Parts: sequence; C-alpha cells; structure tokens
Amino acid sequence: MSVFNPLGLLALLGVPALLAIHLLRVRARRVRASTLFLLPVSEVVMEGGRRLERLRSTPLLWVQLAAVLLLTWILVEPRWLREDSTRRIVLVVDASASMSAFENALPSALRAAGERLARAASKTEWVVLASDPRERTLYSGSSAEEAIAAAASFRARLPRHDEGPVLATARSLASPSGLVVYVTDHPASVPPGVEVLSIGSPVANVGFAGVEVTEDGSYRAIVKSSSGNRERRRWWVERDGASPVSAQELEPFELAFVSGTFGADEEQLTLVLEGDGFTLDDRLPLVRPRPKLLRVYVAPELSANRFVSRFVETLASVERVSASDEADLVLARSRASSVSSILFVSSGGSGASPKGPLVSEKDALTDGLNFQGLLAKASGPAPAASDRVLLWQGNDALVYLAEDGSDSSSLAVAFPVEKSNADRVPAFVLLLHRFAESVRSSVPGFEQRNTELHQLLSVAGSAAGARAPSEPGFFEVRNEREPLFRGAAHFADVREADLTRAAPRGLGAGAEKDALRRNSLPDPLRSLWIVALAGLFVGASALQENPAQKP
Amino acid sequence: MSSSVLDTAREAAGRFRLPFRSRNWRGRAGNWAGSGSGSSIDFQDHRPYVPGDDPRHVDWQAYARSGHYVMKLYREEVSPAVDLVLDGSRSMSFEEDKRTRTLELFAFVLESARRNQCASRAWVLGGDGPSPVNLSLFVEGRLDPFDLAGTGAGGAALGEVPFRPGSLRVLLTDALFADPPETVVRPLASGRGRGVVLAPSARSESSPDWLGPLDFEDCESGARRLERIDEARLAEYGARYRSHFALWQAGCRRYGIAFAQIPSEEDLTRALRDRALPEGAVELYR
Repeated sequence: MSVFNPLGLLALLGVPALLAIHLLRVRARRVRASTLFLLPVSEVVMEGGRRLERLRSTPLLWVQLAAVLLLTWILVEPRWLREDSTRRIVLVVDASASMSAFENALPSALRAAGERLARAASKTEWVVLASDPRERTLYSGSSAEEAIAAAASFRARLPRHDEGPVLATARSLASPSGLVVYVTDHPASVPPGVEVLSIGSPVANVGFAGVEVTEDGSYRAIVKSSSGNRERRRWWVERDGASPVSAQELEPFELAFVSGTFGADEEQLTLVLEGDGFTLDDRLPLVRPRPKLLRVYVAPELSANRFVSRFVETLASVERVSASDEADLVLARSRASSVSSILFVSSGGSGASPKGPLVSEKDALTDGLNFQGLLAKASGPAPAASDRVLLWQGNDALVYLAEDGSDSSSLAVAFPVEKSNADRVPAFVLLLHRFAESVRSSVPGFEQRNTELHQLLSVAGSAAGARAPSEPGFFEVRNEREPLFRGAAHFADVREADLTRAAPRGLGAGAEKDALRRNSLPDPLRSLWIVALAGLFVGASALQENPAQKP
Repeated sequence: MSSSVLDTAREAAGRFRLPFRSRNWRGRAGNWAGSGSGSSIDFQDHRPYVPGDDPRHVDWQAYARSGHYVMKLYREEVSPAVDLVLDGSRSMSFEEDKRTRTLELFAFVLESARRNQCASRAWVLGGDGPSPVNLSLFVEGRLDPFDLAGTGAGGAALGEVPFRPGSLRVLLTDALFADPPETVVRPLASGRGRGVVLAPSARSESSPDWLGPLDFEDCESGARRLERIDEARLAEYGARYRSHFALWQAGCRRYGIAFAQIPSEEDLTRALRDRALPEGAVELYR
C-alpha cells in the first residue's frame, strides 16, 4: 500500500491534540444553581480549570479518535500498487568536477530518493548514466542498491559541459511513463520531463586557477577565491627538501598570484593550498617545460628573405640545420624533399591586381583567423587538384596545403610576401605558426609541459586521443623504448571551482504522484469511509451537546 | 406583571380556594364559621340570659319548659384574614418558569381571598426584612413583588412578619435553604394562625442535567464551586433533594401546616389538583 498524499498524515496530530484536550480539564460549563447546598462536596476539589486529570474513557473520546483516524485514512488517500506496474527511472549523474565536493553526500541522498521513487510502482528498473556523453552506461538493472552504488562510485571530473544530449537520451530511455532524475549540485534548469535532485551546498572554495611556467624555471600561479567572505589560506611547495609555509589572504572573489622558481636541477614540484571542501584545485603539480625541438632548414634562395628570417626567429625551440634531410621543417621556394615544408612559391612576378574578396576555407589552420586587410597578388602556380586551398582571393588561391600522401605536407604561399603586407597581418603569421607547430607535434621527440586535467594530448608516436589524467598529478606517455611526453596535470576550470551556487533541492512530488496514480488502484471503500466520517462527526456533535449521554 | 399570570390565577381560583373550611376563623363578619357566637342561622348552644342580651335571641320555648330565660346562641360567621408572604430570595426568580409560577400562586392566593371576602395582606421577605405589598398596584399589574425583595434570603425573616392573630398564613417559598424547616415555619402557626406553604419547584432542581465538569454559581450568594458530576453524585443529589422536602413535609405537618410543592412546568390548575389538594393546601371551590 502507498499513500498518495503523505501530508494527510498531519491529521494524526489530531490524536495528541484530542488527548490533550481530554487530559486538560475542559473548562467547566457555567451553571447557576439554587440547590448547591444539597450537592455533596467532592473529595477532590477541581481548581482553576486547567489541571491535568486522569484520561477518562468516554464514548465522546473514542468517537473523536475514530473520526481523526478515519479522516487521516481518507486524507492520505491510500492506494494499492498494481502487481504488473513497472517504471523505469534513469539517473543522470552530473559529471562536472564540482560534484567531487559532494561525493560523500551522494550515496545517502540517492538512497533516500531511491526509496521514495521505488514506491511508485511494483517493479522499478534503474538506469544510471553520467552526463559525460563519452561515458558508458554506469548501471542498468532492477536493483536500487546496485544503481545507487554505481552512481556513488562514479568520479565526476569533467569541466563545465552540456548535459542536454545525455538528458535527451535519458528521456527517450525512460519513456513517458518513466522518470529522469538529474543528480547535480545546484538547482539546474532542465528540460521538461526531467527532475532535479541537487545534493550540493555552498562551499567557500579557494584554489589554483591557472599557472604560467617559463623554460627558465620560474612559475606564477593564480589563486582564486570563490567565496563571498574574506578567506585566508596557507600554501607551500612540495619538493625534495624543506619548504616554507606561506599564507595568502584573499578578499571575496579576489585573484592573487603566488610565484617562485624551480631549483637548478629541479624538474617538478607541487604547489599545495590548505585544503577545503573542494580539493581538486588545492594541488598544482608543475614540471619545468621542455618543448620539443623543431629543426628548421631555410633554403639558400630564402636566406636573404627578410620575412622568412623574421618568421624563423619568432618560432620557439628551433634549431637551424644546414641540410634539408636533417630538418623537420623546410622553408623553400619549391618542394625538394619529403620533409614538411612552407613553400614561398612566388618570387615577385607581375601578377594581376587582386580581385575579389578574401575567403578562408574552414580548416584547423585557419580557424578563427581574419585575413581581411591582406594585400597580396597571387602569382604562383595554380594548386593541383589534390591540394587544399586555405585562402582565396576571388578565384586565385593565395595559400594552400599540398599533401602528397606521406606523413609530411607542404604549406604553399602563392603570392610574393615581400611585396605584400603579410608581415603586418597577424592572421597570416599565425597561420604559418600553426603549421610549424603542427609539424613540431607530428615529429617524434620528447616533450615536457604542464596541462590541464583531461586535456587532449597530441603526442607523436602514441595512440591518438590520449588525454591528461582527471586528477591533479604527474604523468608520462611512452612508447616501448622511451618516454615521449612528461607532464603535470592541474585543475583550471574556475567555473567549476565556484561552488557558491550549490544548493540542495529535493525531488518534486508531482511526477511521483502521477506515477503512483498510474500504477495503483484507489481505496474502493473511500465513499463508505466518507459517509462513516460524517456519521462520526454527527455522533460526536450529539455527544458533545447532550451531556446526559456521557458517562 | 403580565395579564396571563392574573388570568391563570383567576382560572385556578375558580376551581380551588384556600383551605378556609378546615377550621373556625376569627375576623370580621363573613361567610366562614367563626370561633365565637354570631348571628348566623346555625344554632350553636344555649346559655343563661344575662342583662343586656338581645331579647330577640331568648329561647321562648325553653323558657316555657323551664321557666328560666335561656339565650339561644348561633354560630358566628366571619371572613378570615389572609396573610400572604412571598419568599423574595433569588432562587425564586432566577428561572423564568419558576418565577412565573410563583407569581401565579401569589395572584391565586389573593384572588382566592378576594372571592371569599377575606382581608388580605402581603409581604415580600428580602434581606432587609418583610416589605408590605401594595395589593392594588399588584392587581392592576403595576407592581412586581420581586422588585421589593432587595438582597439576601428571606426565610429567616419570617418571624418579623406582623401576622394577624388567627389569620390564614400562606408562605410562598421554594424551601431551598439549609435551615431546619421547623424553625422557619413556626411563625406560621403562632397566634392561632393556620399555615399553608406553597413551594414552587423546577425540574432543573429536582432532575438537573448536571454531568461532567461544572462551574457552579450559587444564585443566592454568587459563590462559585467547581465540581465534576457523575452519575453516582447525581443520584446522591437526587436522594438529598427528596430527603430535604420530606423533612419539610414532616416539619410542617408537625405544626399543622399544609405543605405542597407546585411544579413550574405543569399547568397551575393541574398542579394544584395533583399536588396541593391532596395535602390540604387548597380545597375545591364548588
């Protein structure tokens, strides 16, 4: 049996109230009498009308108690679940990193909600999903305990992300008769048909929000307060040997910086903040950056080219080599080897005046770049059919990517840079830099740098799609023979670190009531109980007004 | 004073009257046998002639037989004096039915006295002693005798009433006081008086609906008393009530006083027939 309206249980408060009324002496009825001298004085004299008296079993008391119990029964609207009723409940656990602050509260909150949800049908099927669409289904089955255990064991570490696709999937899994519960840490706005169970509460968090480390070993970390109050935190450096403890005071929502340097031979260290409710941003592991070296060969015909010289100087960690075979990147007029190249294919021929608008093709190399303002005359050879044009001016290709099927590729610049203003157009310089960096990332070699948690890594020689770990710490990517990458992952999502909006919120009763109404049958004797209650009220009233019937 | 009270009293007085026939009276000439000799046609006795006697009452036949002047004596016919006393205590009037019944009895006594040419006087007993009632104003409906009661119970002041010797003394009281009845009613029988006690009663006194916690207020003194009444205590009260009036009955009988309880809820004529007539408190008017 289930109760459709638990608030009806409040009517049971009438029982103690009735007992109290009957225990407390009822204020005596006022009677004027002429024959009091004939009435024997009682042995126990009543005083004042408020004294507790022994509870007396009277018909009025029993009728009133029965009326209260019957009223409670009617108000709670008892319903009996149909044996064939089934309901699917899909729990979507918020995979955001902020949920890590409430991992301890999650099991009990889910258990309480689960008991309530399971009352709406004879059989409940549970599906547990994470709001991370790449995550597999955490649980699917009929055991509430196992579903709760699966949800509680999930470690939420993602940065801020869109939970909409997973909620849509959950909605389709639940079907119209089921229920989707989004378990998060704040009262989120969700699509219709989804209930929010928020287990969060405001946390005064202070943590690392980012870091800048230079190759010379100096670092400068950002400490951010996500608290509305003034906060004070101690911080120190974990490294070999003793490290002093410092203190940092922050005004509400203030940013502060802590800085220092690596030791001479020191390759890694960890900055540590005094712990609080959200621990992901309390540790900042750092490695001294060791960029991968890019070997560059500049062809003799370009050695005097001022633009090329200046461009090479802007590349970091570059080693200039004297033979193209030794290089990772060749800068030349034409392609002469299988090495990745930047080809300045035109040397200042008299091309036509630029006609038509500048249009960039969609590509990772041109993404977000604005080439407007570039004054250049296309004068090189037309790109082959297999080449991919990146930048057009009218019908002329200004920049294109020539791929010959090997691992290397060539970026062709089909206008005379010397006679253009390309050196003053940032988009063009950035385009060349992106290409150079893509070449650097594709060539084998050891690299050491700092990353954010869960950051996508591009390590030549390793499997594609490698990511930094989801917990702060040091990590390494290696092949069978040697390490390829060494890094330190740190948390840097300030939105997830701000827990001031976290607040608890329970499940609404509406969906539960609808489900219970669908899956259960009402009390068939309800009308009879209502009539009986009316009879009890009339009886109680009669007993109240006709004291002669009282014992 | 409502006219219905007087009408009810007149109707009752047409069927019943005060117990005038129960004894010989003294008073002015009237219709009822006096205690002395008079000029009625009823022969009473003979006595020797003494100078000064009315020669019309000489029994000449007796003189012929005996040679002595013998006076023939006839029964005196008088109209008895009626002294009516109303107990003005609050218990007599705090319930409307009882108050009305009391006023009906008051009017009945006066109407009965008037019909029988009795000289009537009335007093109201209050806390300040007996107060005489202007009967003309009462009969005209311009006087409520309870207005003369003042404060306090009146039973104890009965001895202060200036009863006329040999009068018919009617006391209207509910007898609801703890004093022994003998001490209360004794003045009714003093001075060769004949006493009648008519006690208006109410069902709320004989069978009260008292149950549960009650905050009693004594109608006389205003004193408060909290009691929880159950069936047993109610039964005990009923027994005491009946015992109280049995004592009154016995106490009155001891002084030759007729005592009758007149319920307020019944018709007056019926109540007098059922309650007062058997006790000799009234007699049929014929």
